[in-house]
Amino acid sequence: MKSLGGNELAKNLLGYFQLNYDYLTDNQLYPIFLGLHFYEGELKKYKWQPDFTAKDSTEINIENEVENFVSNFLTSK
Amino acid sequence: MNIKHYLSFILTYVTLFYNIFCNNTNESIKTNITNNTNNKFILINKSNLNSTIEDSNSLLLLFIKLDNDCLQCEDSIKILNNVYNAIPKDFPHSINFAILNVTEYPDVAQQYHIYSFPTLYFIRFGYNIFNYLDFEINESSLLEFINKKLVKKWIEIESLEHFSKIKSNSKLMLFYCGNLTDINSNYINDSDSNSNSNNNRTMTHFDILNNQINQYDEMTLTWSINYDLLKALNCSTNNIATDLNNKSTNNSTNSSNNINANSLFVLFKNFDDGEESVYFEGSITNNKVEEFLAMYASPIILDLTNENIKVTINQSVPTIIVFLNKKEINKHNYLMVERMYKTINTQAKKYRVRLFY
Repeated sequence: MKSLGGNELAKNLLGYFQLNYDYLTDNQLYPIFLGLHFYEGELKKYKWQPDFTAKDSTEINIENEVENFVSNFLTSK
Repeated sequence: MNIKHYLSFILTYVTLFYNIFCNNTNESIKTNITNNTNNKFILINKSNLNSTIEDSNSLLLLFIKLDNDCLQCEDSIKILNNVYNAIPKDFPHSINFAILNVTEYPDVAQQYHIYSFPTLYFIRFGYNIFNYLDFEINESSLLEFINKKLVKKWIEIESLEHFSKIKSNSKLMLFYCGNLTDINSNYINDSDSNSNSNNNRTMTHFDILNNQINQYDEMTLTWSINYDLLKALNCSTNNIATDLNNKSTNNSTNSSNNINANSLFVLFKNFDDGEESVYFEGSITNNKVEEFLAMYASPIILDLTNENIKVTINQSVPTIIVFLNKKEINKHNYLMVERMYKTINTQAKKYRVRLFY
């Protein structure tokens, strides 16, 4: 795990993917899942921010949510 | 004289002072570059940028900013000049040295994602870019970097035992099925190496492999014409036709019937789910080798670093980056975070999606 707040790695990452700084700032809710893939030569970004903190661990089917994110990301265009 | 005249007077002199001072500074630094480098470096402008990149087999391109914000820019030119002088005359690769003043071409810096100065790029065959990542450009580490990227040590495997020994000590090993001398004379016109470039460069298979493995510093490079080993590894007969024919004649057997695969090289890796061997088939081109290595030569799950960021932008491998904040993991949610880790790791391996934390 890396702390991304304002360091060189974050700067490089933002540069490569032309991301807005909002993706990485400290007031974001973590974890942030960022899916990146190319479709017809264009970089597509697929972002997901599940709200784990607000819920009790027994109330959320985390496995199902993560699997849905991966499946939606892989089929997104 | 009213206030308007005063302001106009002041503005005129400020502009004049700025022009004289700043232009002189820029000119003096330009002269300094020329004097320091004795015209060994190509001074890049918009019209020669693309041709310099495309015409150079290897290019060290220094991005500098000619203003007071970049105190290390002048020093970096001197260091680059020392590196130029330190490269031995019989060095087996030609390297061009170039300088680009970003003050004059800010859009170029943006195009290459450069946000701090000085920045040094090492560009191979017109498109394969490696950022020299030390924040302070340093002569000895730069020479080491050049050697690491250009001088590849290929080991000839002599026997099955030799092969096993080297493989057991390598997390990642590339084995070329055949004679290294042959691939070095096997030229192709690799016009599909970069769809964004008009660069139709003639490269050998050896150039392509060396170019593409540059991103994988820990890879052990091997080759062999040992018949038993090639047979055991199910290697292609195409690369080793001559050697097989000789061997068949010597042994008076038609042994080549036993070797029917089309693989030109094999990648042995020991990560993700343990030991695995992956065969490269088809023709060796930059695009195909790059895709193959992007898919198999890095672990599926990685910690994100400056060095491996470049792997993420390969078009053939979908990527997920998970941004985490350790501070937000507490006794209430750690079980959920653990379940999240487990599930996303399983999913990444299942679909071969590269996962970065």
